[in-house]
Amino acid sequence: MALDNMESLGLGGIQTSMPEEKLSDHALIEAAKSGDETAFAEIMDRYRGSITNYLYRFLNDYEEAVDLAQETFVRVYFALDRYHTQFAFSTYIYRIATNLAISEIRRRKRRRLMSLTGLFQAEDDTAVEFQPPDKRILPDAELVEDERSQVIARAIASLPEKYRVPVILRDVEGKTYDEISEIMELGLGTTKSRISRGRALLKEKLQHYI
Amino acid sequence: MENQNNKIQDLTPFVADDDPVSRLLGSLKRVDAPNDFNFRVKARIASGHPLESARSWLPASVRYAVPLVLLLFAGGYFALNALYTPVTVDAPVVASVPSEKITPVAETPSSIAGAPAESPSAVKTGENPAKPTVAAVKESEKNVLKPNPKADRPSGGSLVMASNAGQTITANGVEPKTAGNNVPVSPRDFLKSVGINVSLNGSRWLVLSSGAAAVKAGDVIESVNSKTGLLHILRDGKAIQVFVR
Repeated sequence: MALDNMESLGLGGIQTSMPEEKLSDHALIEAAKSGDETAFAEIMDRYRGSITNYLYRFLNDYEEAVDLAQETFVRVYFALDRYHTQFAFSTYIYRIATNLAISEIRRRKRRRLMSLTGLFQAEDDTAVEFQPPDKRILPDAELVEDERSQVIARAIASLPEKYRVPVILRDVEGKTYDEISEIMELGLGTTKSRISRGRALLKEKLQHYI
Repeated sequence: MENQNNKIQDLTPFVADDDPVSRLLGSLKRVDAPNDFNFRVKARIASGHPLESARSWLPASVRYAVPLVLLLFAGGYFALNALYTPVTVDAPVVASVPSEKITPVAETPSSIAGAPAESPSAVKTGENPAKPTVAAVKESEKNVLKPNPKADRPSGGSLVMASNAGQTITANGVEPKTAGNNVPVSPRDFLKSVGINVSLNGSRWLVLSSGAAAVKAGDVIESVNSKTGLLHILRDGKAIQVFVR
């Protein structure tokens, strides 16, 4: 498939003459299937931010999150022909991203590798992201906010996968329970139960901030 | 204007449920993709996905059909082999020399004109059948039920071999070859198979003529190992060992 049409996209997004009305994801996918690179670029523009944010909250590693988000779109592109429109595209792409993130987490556990930000084993043998201290001088408010964010990020990263995914999807990405159950391919009751359990675990870890 | 509203909405902290943890997580700053995100995805697509591109050049039907056909061929081959393997019966050769002369029984030459039917029952009952003509006798000789020697032997073999069965094992170490069906091979047959003609002289074999280079006429073979082809030979009073296969 020729990619020349994407040259006009630049770095910021679509600059071509898109129709005023917002096309549905399915319509864009159908257009992308027929070779419309602009439609695929529109899909990227719609989801790249949320997918990157989701993966960042999951992995607590921005570079890794960006890398996996790109890989997610590459996989979507090469699987366009196999995509069935009876499923919501947002569910589909989040499922791909989730699978990639879980694979990455398991790969990390197998190889015992540490990312640039550092990954160490806590005393209770749960993987916890380690953020090195920022030496830059920051205003107090920003410093407090930054520290708070880091603690929350560490707490999320310390959750087991089965609780981490639904909690992030619900409380960070704002997905509905139905969407989460479809993404995780679980029953609605199980999904709600896991979210509740994940929140309870987070509550214990973040009690100073609540 | 609508886009601006959407952007503002995106930046507003999201609160999914009325839960303190949910509010806390919803207050986290959202990160965005880098500006060159699309460019890098495009570069990855252009370079080709290693896993997908490796598989996609073959149609799905070929990917699955070829291994299936190969599997079927292999399965069929082994199944046919299992079905058509000749069954070997491990039955010992019995030296059965017919001791009784089988009385030929003539079939009824019904096609002969004027010759009445003659049956064994007619003979036993003492009836007086009409005397068959010469032509009828000749015809009846053709129809004599001759004994079939092969029918009496369960696993084949020759009568000669069966009659030599007593010579296959000798006291001085002759080790008969046992074939897959446990039919013993006599030393004479073994030597003959390697081109050595011998005659039995006491318990030893005198070589009459030899097609094997290591054995000469006049040698005396003391023992034969038909498995290994090892012969113990006396030549000019010296004991030597030669292999003939």
